[in-house]
Amino acid sequence: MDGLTKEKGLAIALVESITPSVAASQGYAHRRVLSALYRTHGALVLRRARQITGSDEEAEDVLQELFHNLVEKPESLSRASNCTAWLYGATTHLCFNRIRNRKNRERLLQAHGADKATHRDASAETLAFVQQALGALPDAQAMAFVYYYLDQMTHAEIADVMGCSRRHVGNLLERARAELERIHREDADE
Amino acid sequence: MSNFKQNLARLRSAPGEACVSDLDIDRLLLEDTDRTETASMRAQISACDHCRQRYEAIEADYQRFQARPAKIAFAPPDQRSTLLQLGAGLLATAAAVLLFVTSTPDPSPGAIRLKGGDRFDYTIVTASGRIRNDRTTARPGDELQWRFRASEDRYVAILSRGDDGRISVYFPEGEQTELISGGGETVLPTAVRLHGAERQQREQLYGFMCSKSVSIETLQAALREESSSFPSVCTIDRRPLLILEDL
Repeated sequence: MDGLTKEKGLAIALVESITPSVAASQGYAHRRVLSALYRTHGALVLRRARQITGSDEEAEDVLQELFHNLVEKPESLSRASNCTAWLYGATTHLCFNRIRNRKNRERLLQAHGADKATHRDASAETLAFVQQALGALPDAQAMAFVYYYLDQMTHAEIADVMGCSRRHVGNLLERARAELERIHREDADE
Repeated sequence: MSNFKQNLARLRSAPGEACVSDLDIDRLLLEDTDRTETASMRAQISACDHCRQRYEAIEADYQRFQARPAKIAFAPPDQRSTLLQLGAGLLATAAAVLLFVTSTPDPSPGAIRLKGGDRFDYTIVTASGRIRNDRTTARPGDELQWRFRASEDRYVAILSRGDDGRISVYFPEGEQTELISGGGETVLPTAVRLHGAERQQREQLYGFMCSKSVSIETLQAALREESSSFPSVCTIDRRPLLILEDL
């Protein structure tokens, strides 16, 4: 990981220096920074996008989209206090957008059998369950669900990333579980 | 246990609060933790099979990602203004390169390594944002994104020679080769959009990686003389590219 560490140092140092005016006047520099950031942090974006979307192809698209957005608006990252946590949130949002596109979601669900995603304990049933959950839950509950069940975060960590209290995280997860159980029961009744 | 509960249990099989999260593992691997956090996380990973397996899986993910070619898209293919910002001079060069040569594709794709272990490469991104697997053929509207892999700091440049003998400079815009850091892959901050052409064109792209700064004029002269006088301080990676005509 030596090379990674070297690039990471460059990325973080320069990302912290990006402001809108710097980004506008030093397009070259900020693209160098983003190149370095891509090399160091791209793996985590790709991994999480695979976990959330359940699709290698969609994950690659999310990776490209996220860094493209950063090229366009580098200031969004410069406002973040922690680069890694910011990338977690940004990846989650982009994945939700894709999953909630009906056409896309249908394709993802159909592709589960063929797509060799790297989700932990990946089974078609579990992946379908995750997709259903993310498609059905309101944003905040879906985010808490992802952080807790896919990223294995504690309530305290989720509270940090989402910028809310631990109690609120607990409430979101409770509501998410109740909602999913209700949906599951309705499906079973049908 | 119901399917619903089984699915939840499968997703989070070790809900112990002591287990490190994926975020923790990422921060640890990216050295984004202080000394106390590092020690605590490493102790937990050593003591917990579940944590250790996840740590090793995520670490392997990083290594796989590091080993693969960079695919960052610096500008969407449909936003020409951004491209102009990235490399106004290069667009003109690209347009000039797309002239009228009739030819067939090179049957042997990939680089022709002249010497050295450093590497020049590029990604072709289509107008719809997809990355082409075949890097020997491009179409008008495609975008070329350059990258170098070098073990040490190198002064780099990208030039091309068309079948008509025309020499073009893609990178840098200045008069000297430009310094990039060694030790990994560098994606250049410039990209070139290929403009329309009436007939297909074949050209050779040359990635120069030099241990000392070299004038672009020297490299242009060497290409004119068909490689007989490349500077000895430079490693050269040569790649064939067929640019198809506008449909």
